[in-house]
Amino acid sequence: MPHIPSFIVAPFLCALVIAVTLSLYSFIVVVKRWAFLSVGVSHAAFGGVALGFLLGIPVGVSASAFALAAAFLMGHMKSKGNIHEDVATGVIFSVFMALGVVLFSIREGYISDVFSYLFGSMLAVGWREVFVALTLSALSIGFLLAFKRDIFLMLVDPEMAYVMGVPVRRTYNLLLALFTLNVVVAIKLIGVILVSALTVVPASVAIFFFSKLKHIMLLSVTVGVLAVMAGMITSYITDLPPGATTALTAGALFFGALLISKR
Amino acid sequence: MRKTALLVENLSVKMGNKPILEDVSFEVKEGEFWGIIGPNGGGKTTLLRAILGIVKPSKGRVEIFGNHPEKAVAEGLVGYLPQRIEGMVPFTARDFVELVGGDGNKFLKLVGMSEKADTPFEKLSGGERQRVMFAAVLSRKPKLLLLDEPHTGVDIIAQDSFYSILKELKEKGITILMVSHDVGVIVNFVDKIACLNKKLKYTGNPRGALDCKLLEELYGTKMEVFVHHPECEGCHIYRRS
Ligand SMILES: Nc1ncnc2c1ncn2[C@@H]1O[C@H](COP(=O)(O)OP(=O)(O)OP(=O)(O)O)[C@@H](O)[C@H]1O
Ligand SMILES: [Mg+2]
Repeated sequence: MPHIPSFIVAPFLCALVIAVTLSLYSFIVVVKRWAFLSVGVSHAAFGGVALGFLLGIPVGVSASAFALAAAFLMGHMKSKGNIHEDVATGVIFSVFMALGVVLFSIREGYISDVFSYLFGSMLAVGWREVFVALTLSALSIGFLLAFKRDIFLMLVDPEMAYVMGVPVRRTYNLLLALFTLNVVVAIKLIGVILVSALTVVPASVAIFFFSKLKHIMLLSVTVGVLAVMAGMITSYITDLPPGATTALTAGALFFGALLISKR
Repeated sequence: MRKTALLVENLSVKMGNKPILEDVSFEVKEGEFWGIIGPNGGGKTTLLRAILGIVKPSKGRVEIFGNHPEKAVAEGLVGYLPQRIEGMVPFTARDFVELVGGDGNKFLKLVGMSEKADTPFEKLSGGERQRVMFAAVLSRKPKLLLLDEPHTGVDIIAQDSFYSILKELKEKGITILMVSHDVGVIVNFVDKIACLNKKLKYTGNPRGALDCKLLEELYGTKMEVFVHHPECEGCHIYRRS
């Protein structure tokens, strides 16, 4: 058995937790057509990362604040301003990301930090990150299990859900907030640019093969964990950023599954 | 005296500044079956959404069994089959009904969809989807049923069984409000008809709505346009042969 250096245990554990949670939420992303929104949320977090560095406050806090603000602006412009979600996302995420670029340029000498937040870094992840990821994951999965009916009915049709007794607004907001926080937690490891691979690929692949809800969820998680673990191992061996290797393995799984399922 | 199931009083709805419904009033007694007809854009869907409390009226009020709409909805008194649904549904018809909380096998059988229970909802035809959604709605056992064009795309045989389900529900005392473009068919089933084009142009006996027209001509012709009440200008019913 090869020797496993202790400094990679935390990143691998963190990766596993993130993979399971995001894969479960990936079903919601696919059904609710949140793919672009999830790209927007992670990019918007970059503005918060930069602000955190500049002000010396914990980056996780400022990144969460930016991502949540962006998510709620994107998710609610449709009902408030009659602007479609994808248009709102396109505008907001570029503004938030640009803000990050400007803030990072004010103070020089952060190039390596910028790079690691864009594409992820194993070294950025320690036991504190594992603890945060585990806590959030428990909350997020608990929410999915406890409010399964409300969540799925809302996904199918908010108005029909309301008539079936679902508290639509509260369910939507909680789902959006938990999803956003999970994306933020994944940023240290995977980076803002490539985290969307994990929010979109798992459920998309599962839907190629299955139509029973239970099976979709199980295959989603399997795909997500496979993609992340293969990506992490590749990153460890090759020293490439984990975000890039994970997005590549996820992409390979996606296209492989597409080919097999169409045969 | 039978109870009032639904009371709509001086209801007006605006979208922005545009009036969609103006001063609509009618009363539906428990166990009655009403048909709502009217042209595209006449405000039929908006009326149902206002009854449900999804859109807020600018004037007037709605009561369902004496309750505010939101309360009636929260108590599970109302069932709603929307004209179309928003989201993508990659899971099976059975999963759909069971998510709502019903017995998938029982209710899919009721609407004649047992064979498609394990088909992904997304891969069903338009008419089949309507039937699955109908099964889901029925599984909640509502006392007031609002149906928005439930048989667009449903074939003749399915339509027959659909009406026989509605008849059974009516016999159980369920109150039904159904939006339809199929005036020639619904007049044979409903107790009352309401013709809506922004304002309520006609309510009452379904035959009355067709008095001056010849129902027979509605069938077998390529495309007929009917104005089914003298005061109901603009309220045309189209039927393809
Ligand atoms: N959310 C909305 N915002 C603005 N206008 C709307 C909205 N919903 C409906 N309308 C307008 O209200 C009018 C009535 O629409 P509604 O959907 O109630 O008609 P309908 O009678 O159901 O038509 P159809 O037979 O095509 O289903 C239309 O002119 C429509 O443009
Ligand atoms: Mg309509």
